[in-house]
Amino acid sequence: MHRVRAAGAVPAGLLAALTLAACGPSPVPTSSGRTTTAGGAAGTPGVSFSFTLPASAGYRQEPDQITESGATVRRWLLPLGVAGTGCVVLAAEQSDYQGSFPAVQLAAFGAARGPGSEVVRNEPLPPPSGAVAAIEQELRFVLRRSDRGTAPARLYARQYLTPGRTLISLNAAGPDDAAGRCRPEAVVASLLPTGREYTAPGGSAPSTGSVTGGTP
Amino acid sequence: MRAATGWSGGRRPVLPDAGPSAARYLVVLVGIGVTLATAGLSAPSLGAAVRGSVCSQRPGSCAPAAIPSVPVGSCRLLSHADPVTEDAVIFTDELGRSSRLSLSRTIDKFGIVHWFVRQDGGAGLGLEGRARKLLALGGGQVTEFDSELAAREYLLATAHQPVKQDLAAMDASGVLARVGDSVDGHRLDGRQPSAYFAQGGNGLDLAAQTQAAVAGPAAGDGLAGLAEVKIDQGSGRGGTTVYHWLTAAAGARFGLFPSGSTLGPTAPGLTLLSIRYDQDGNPERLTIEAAGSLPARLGPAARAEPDVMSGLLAGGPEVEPDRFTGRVVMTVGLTDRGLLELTADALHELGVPVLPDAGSLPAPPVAGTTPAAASTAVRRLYQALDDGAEGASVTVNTYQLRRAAGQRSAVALGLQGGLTVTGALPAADFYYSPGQGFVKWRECTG
Repeated sequence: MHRVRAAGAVPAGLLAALTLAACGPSPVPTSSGRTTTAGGAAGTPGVSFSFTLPASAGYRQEPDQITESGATVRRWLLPLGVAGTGCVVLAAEQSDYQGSFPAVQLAAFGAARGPGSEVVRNEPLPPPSGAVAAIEQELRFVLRRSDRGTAPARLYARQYLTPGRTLISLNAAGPDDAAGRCRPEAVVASLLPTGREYTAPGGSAPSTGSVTGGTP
Repeated sequence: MRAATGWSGGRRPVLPDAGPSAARYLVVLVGIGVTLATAGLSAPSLGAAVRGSVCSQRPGSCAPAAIPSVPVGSCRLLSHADPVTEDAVIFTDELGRSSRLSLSRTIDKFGIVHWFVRQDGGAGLGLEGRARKLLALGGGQVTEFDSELAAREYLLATAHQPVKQDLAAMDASGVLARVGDSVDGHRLDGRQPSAYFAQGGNGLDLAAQTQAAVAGPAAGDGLAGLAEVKIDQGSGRGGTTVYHWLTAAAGARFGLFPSGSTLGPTAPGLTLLSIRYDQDGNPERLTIEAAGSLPARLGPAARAEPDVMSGLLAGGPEVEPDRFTGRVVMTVGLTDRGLLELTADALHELGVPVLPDAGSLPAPPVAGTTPAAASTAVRRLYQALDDGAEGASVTVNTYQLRRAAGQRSAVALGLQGGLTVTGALPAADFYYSPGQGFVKWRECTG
C-alpha cells in the first residue's frame, strides 16, 4: 500500500511540487496489503520525480483517490467558469505494475478517442534517470460542454516505469483558449528527476512510491 | 526475448523451454547430421533415435507438453436463434502455460472448439505494422489453430525454435539449417498470428479520466483499470479492442451485482468492458461482460418475463431471488448513431469515461447516488436490448461447477475470448434473443 503524505491544498500563486518516489527492489505485497521490499530492508532509497504547476494559474488540489487496484491518484483542478469546464492535472503512481509497459499504454491511447480527436504524439521517450522506460502522449480533442457547446482542447501525458515497477503517470489537459493560463504542456514537460533520493520516513519499509504535494 | 535467442560469444543462458543448450545440441547434431544426410533423412526410426539422443542430454527437455489434455465433453445443439454475433463465445478454458506460451480453447456458439496459443513476445510476422512495432515494446501474439494437435505441435516447435536458429547461425555449411527440423521432429509452420495483445496490468487509463474531467469536475471514476489491448487482423485491416475493468461501484450501478461489492476473491462478480475500434479509430462494437454471482432474473426463471434486462434495475435486494453462477455478455453495435448515443449515455452515467464524442450526459452521477436514481440511461439501454434493437444482443451462460475430491470449486476470469473457467464446464446455456427472451439452445454433458 502506498504511503501518502497529504499536503493539503496548494496555495494560489505558489509553486506546487509533486514528488514521486520509487524504490529499486521489487516490491512484495504482503497479506496485510502493506508493501515491503523483496529483501526486507528498511529505508531503501529510491528516486524522486517532481513537476511544477504554474504559480499564477490557481490550480486547486482535490482530495486524493485510492483506486481499487491500490493506485494513488492526485488531481488539481482549475475551474474556468464556462459550463463547468476547467483545466485538470492528474498524477498517479501504481506500485508492482505488471502490465506490458509501454506497449499497452501506447496501444490504448492510439486506439481511438472519437472522430473529433487526433493523436498528435504517442511514442517512447528516452527514460530519465530513475526510470527504465518512458512515453509521452498528446491528444487534440473537441471538448463537449454541458451547455452543448464545444471547444478545442488538448491533453498531454507522460508515463514512467521505475526499476521497481512503479508506474508513474502525469496527465494535464484543458481548452485551447485557456492554454496560456493552464499551461498543461509545460506542466507535463516539467516531470523530471529531482536529483534527490527518497527514503521512506521513520525507518519503516519503503513504499514503492509516494505522492506528496507542497511548495518549494 | 533476446536473452533466449541471442548469442554473444559468452556462456549461453539456458533456454526456458528449448531443451538442451545450443553448444551441446551442436555436438550431437554435427555427428548425427552427417549420418542423417547419408541415410537420406528418410528413416523415421532413425529420426526417433536421434531425437532420443538429443533429448537425453537433458532430462525432460524434450518431454511432451506439460499441459494436460482435458476432455471438452459432448455438446448437443437444441436450438438457437440467429441474431447473436458470430464471435459469441460460450466459454474459454485456459489449459496451461509453459514459459512464454499458453494454450487455451474457446467454444463458440456453434459448439466448435477453437484452439489458441498465446506467446509473450514473438516475431509478429504477418501482423500489421502497428502491431509489430508495439511487439518490440512489449506484449505478445496469439495464434489460432483448427485442432488441439496442431496447437500443441506449434507449442513444441516454438519452444525448440531458438536452439535451431542458433545452430543454423553457427553452421556455415548450412547443413544443420536443412536437417534441424527433421532431427528435432517439430517443424514451425509459417502460420500468421491472429492478433497482437498487450496486458494492461490493471493500470490506470488516466488520459480518459483527464479528458473527461475537463468537461466536468466529477467525471470518470467508473474504470478500475486497463485489462488488455488487442489488435487483430480483422478483414485485412487491423482493429483495436481495448478492455477495461469496471469499478465495483459502476458494476453495482449497472444492476448486475450488489452495491458495495469489491474486487477480490470474495467479490460476487467482475465486469469487463471492451470497445472495438476500426483502423480509423471509430468505435464499432461495445461488449460488456459480467461474470460471477448473477441475478436470478437473468437465469432460466426469467424466460417468462417480457422485460428481463429492464427488470434488473426494478427491484431492490429485498426482492432479489437466489443468484446463480454464470456470465452475461451484452454486445451493442456502435456504428448506428442512435445506439452509440444511447450506449454513451449509459456509460457516462456509470462514470465510465469512454466514447467522449457521443452521449449527452458529460457529467456522471454524484458519488452516493442510489442505483435506482442513477439508472435512467442504463434503463434506456436495457430497454433497447429488451426491444430487440438491431445490432444488440445478450448471451447468458450458467455454469455448474465441478469439484474434485478435496478441492474447492472456483470460477476464474480470464481475458482471451472472455471468461476462463477453471475446472468446470458449462452445464447449460441460455441464449437471450432480443425480443424473444431466453432460448435454451445447447446442453453439454461432461
